[in-house]
Amino acid sequence: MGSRSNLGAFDLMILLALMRLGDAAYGVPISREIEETSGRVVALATLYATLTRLEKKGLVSSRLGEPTAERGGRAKKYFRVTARGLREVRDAQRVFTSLWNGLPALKGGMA
Amino acid sequence: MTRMRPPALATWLLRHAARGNDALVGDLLEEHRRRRSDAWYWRQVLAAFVVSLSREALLVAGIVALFLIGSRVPVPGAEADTLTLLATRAAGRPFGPLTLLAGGQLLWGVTVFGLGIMPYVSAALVVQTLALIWQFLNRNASRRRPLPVMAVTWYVAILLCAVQAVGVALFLERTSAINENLRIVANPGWMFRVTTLLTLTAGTTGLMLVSDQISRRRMGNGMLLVFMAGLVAGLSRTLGQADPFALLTSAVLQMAVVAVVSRGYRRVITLAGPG
Repeated sequence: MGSRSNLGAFDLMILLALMRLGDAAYGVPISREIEETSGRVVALATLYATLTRLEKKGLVSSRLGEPTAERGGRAKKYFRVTARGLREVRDAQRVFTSLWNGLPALKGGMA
Repeated sequence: MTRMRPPALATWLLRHAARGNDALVGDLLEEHRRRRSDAWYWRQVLAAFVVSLSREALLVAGIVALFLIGSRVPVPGAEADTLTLLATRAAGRPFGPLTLLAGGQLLWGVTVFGLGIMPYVSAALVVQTLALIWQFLNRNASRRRPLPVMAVTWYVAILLCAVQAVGVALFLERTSAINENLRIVANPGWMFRVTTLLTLTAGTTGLMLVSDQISRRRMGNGMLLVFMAGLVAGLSRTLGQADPFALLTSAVLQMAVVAVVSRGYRRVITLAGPG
């Protein structure tokens, strides 16, 4: 395992939420997904700031949808994880799993 | 179920905080209409405001650092210590703080950023007037030619820089000749004038580039941010030498003027195309 993941916990949560949502991943569902699975309330501005940073790093890509009246004529911005982003998620998973393994206190949900 | 409109003040604030991020504005409107409260909407807007503010604060801090570094690079041939002495004296005089900030940082040192971003601001004002005249002249033309706004602004700004820089060089030479006890210019003459012209013009051109990059990348109002950074850098050096109230009043007034000019300039660019 050569590469080292630089993903923060919030970055990882966002990438995983994008993978779970598939084609329906835009601001509102992403924040809802994170809120429902982690209990963490996410400000949409913070979410977009992180997504912009991840996009600059090439871990996610975005496309604009159609504008709707419900959104005051503004388009949705859909995000998806790129191949590079997927590699980073896998690396992070590997790192966490190896750290997890062999910790007696965490075996069998004891801790 | 369609809910009422979100609070108007919050939406106004959001439009400014989330400049360039229509998706965020749309998301908040959508969520508010569907199920969220006004309190939730306000919290989200304030978060957007803080996020945008921290980004702009970082930018200003970066440009302030640039100004502070530049203020230690004097124009070759000018005696930096004497210039600082003159600046300190100017700060204590009536209207001193005003002039101290108005011409950029000139009075606290003829340095590489001596003219600040002001020539660009003045050029933007000139171009706004030119755009009106251009529109008037082309009113009957069958095919309207757009004014190359950005190119013209750059030419005018560089011309203003050159004129001001030569003026500064001549002023320093004359001051040096009148006050024999003050050694400001080591070797007056054409070489000094040309060096001053090149240094001051290059410094302001660098600031104009930074300003344009900020605006082009939609990170904020570049002209205003660079001007603000110049003010902050200037204030940090002049506090304690001048009346703080006069400094602050002058800073707020100038920022208001630059804000109006830069907004008008951006509107002209949008209408005419960047050119």
